[in-house]
Amino acid sequence: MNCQKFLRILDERVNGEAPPQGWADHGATCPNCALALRLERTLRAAPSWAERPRMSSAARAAVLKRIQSAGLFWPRVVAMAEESAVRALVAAAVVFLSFAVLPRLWYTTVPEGFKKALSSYAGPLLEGFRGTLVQFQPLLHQNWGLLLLGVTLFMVIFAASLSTRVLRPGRT
Amino acid sequence: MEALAGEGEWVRKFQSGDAAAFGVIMNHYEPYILSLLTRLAGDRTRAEDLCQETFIKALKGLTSFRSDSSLKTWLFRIAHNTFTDHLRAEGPGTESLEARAEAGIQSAETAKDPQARMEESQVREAVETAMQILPQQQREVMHLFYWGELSVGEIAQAMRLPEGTVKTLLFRGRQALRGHVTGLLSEVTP
Repeated sequence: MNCQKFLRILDERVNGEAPPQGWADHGATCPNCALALRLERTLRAAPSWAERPRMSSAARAAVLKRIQSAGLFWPRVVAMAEESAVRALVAAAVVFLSFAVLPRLWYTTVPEGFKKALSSYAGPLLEGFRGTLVQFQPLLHQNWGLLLLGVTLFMVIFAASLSTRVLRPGRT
Repeated sequence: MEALAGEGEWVRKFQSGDAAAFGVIMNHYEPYILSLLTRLAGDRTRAEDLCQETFIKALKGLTSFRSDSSLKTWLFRIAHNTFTDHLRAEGPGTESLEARAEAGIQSAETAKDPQARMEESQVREAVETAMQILPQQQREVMHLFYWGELSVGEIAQAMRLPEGTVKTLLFRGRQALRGHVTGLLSEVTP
């Protein structure tokens, strides 16, 4: 073991794994490497001996005073709205896909035997879906109808998401 | 460094309008941030100003903070940016430390077996002095790694550097620190 190898191993032992044989012996006999090892140990222990400075009370008070004066209301509302909007978009996409794709998949891809077995449970649900879709069908034939439907769905989910976020902040 | 217990909950409380939650967050992280900035600025008064600026920026940013990175990494990043902006505003010529670093390495090379009589407090003092001689980036990486107990990945995130660069800076920082400390201790124990 030479000094170069000793120091390389010392630098690479970042996770505290066991050093190879002969490493510690070299550290005990070579003064320079012993110093390097001692320095590394001192550095590793730095959090325990280092000073933990504090700002002056005036500086702390100045920061905390900003909470009142910084006008954090709108940034907070915008942040909350952004977060809720993303959730609403995802939820709207999921709802739209379940309405548009699931009934079609049911009728086209599910085997007849399986359909029969499940029909007593899934049938009424699908009929419900279809009934709802039928109600919205005239809207889809209007100009901008689909967009209007999408925006309505988004707004409903957005309002729900925002309300949940405001009323139960810790749960969202 | 210990993370603030229930960190996410405090952030959510602040985001929901509980102003006192920010006080809790600041109270926990202030010593770490101020310690880093004192190390970087080399002047306590200036470090306090920068620390104040860091927390004011954090106050504004926390409203939209997402837990993509940890709060400590995020705060260290703000502190790093605040210091970098401050250096930029001061203009070139403020970092004349490389020459001192060179001198430190040279004096270290002439040192002979200085560890025999040294005390732990002397080593710590030498480390603190030697840290001030390191170039700014090395000093910052070394401080975040050893004093801040951040991982290489977290330092890379905080300083927006590739992990390889952080490892190189750590390697060079250690080498330089060894040189400086040996030099300083040889002066103390002739």
